[in-house]
Amino acid sequence: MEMNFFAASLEKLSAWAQKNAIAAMPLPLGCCLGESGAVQAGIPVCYNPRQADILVVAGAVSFKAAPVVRRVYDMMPAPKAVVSVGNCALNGGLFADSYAVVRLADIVPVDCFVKGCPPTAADFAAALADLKGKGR
Amino acid sequence: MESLDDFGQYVSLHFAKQDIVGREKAFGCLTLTVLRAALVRTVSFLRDDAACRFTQLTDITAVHYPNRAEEFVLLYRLTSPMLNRRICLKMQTARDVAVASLGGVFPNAVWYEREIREMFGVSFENHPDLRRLLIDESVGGFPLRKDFPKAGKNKLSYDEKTESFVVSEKQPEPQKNLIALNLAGESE
Repeated sequence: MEMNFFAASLEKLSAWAQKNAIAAMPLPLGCCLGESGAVQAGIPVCYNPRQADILVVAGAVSFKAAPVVRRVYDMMPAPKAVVSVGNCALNGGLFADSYAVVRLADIVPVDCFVKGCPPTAADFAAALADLKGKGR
Repeated sequence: MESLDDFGQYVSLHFAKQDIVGREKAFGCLTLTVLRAALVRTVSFLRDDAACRFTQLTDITAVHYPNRAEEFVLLYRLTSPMLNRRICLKMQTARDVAVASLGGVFPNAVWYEREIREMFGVSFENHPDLRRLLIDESVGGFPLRKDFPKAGKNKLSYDEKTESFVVSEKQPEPQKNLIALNLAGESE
């Protein structure tokens, strides 16, 4: 008899699959996502929030963009994480204390901050590895 | 009508003396100071007159002078592509006075006026849509006024319990005097 099957609990199986097939939804509000080389970090990119696991927000979040960010976050399926890329998303960066800029952490719960202006691809890859380490 | 003086006189001749208050030249461009009540008439004349033909409204901007009785100066920049000439109209206005909208003369004035409304809080009469143009309604206040706090008036956050956005007033932070800090660092 060929051993081309294995037994596992469905929960464990889906957790394993999700951990190893992460699709990130980029939300480029500023220049960071292009500059940081997130694509070189080797994550599959998915422009549909319904199928994404990670929300990658880069750039300053303005008052007007905040409801959009929240809406995209709410649309994502349950095991989800938010990565904030760059100083702008972290605390406003260059635009800190502007009358029209909010911190990303005030809008959605952020799991991982990548600092830098812009951050390097290595920083971004390390953040993703850190997220995987957390087990989600 | 080659010289700017001649041209300025030509325009002034078509209006009552009190309508066009001032006339000045700077950087090869004529600037007329216009009375609030005469603005729409002046702009229509400049657009339609065969010797002017300012058929393009390039920009409307405003300046805030907090110490004046009439706080705001609105600047209307017109271009005549046919005659290769530019002109600037200046107009004083106060905080609680509505200015006549230029939307009937130049349709593109509507958006310029919306921007002035959101940034300076100058109101316009006969305007089709006075919503803010670029910034969000929840920002509050008028950012380009001199008395607007640099960091803004409102703070936006999301309340997970009620699942809604909360706008709260920002606490003013004490401003650090960066120049004084630098000088203190140098003397040490």
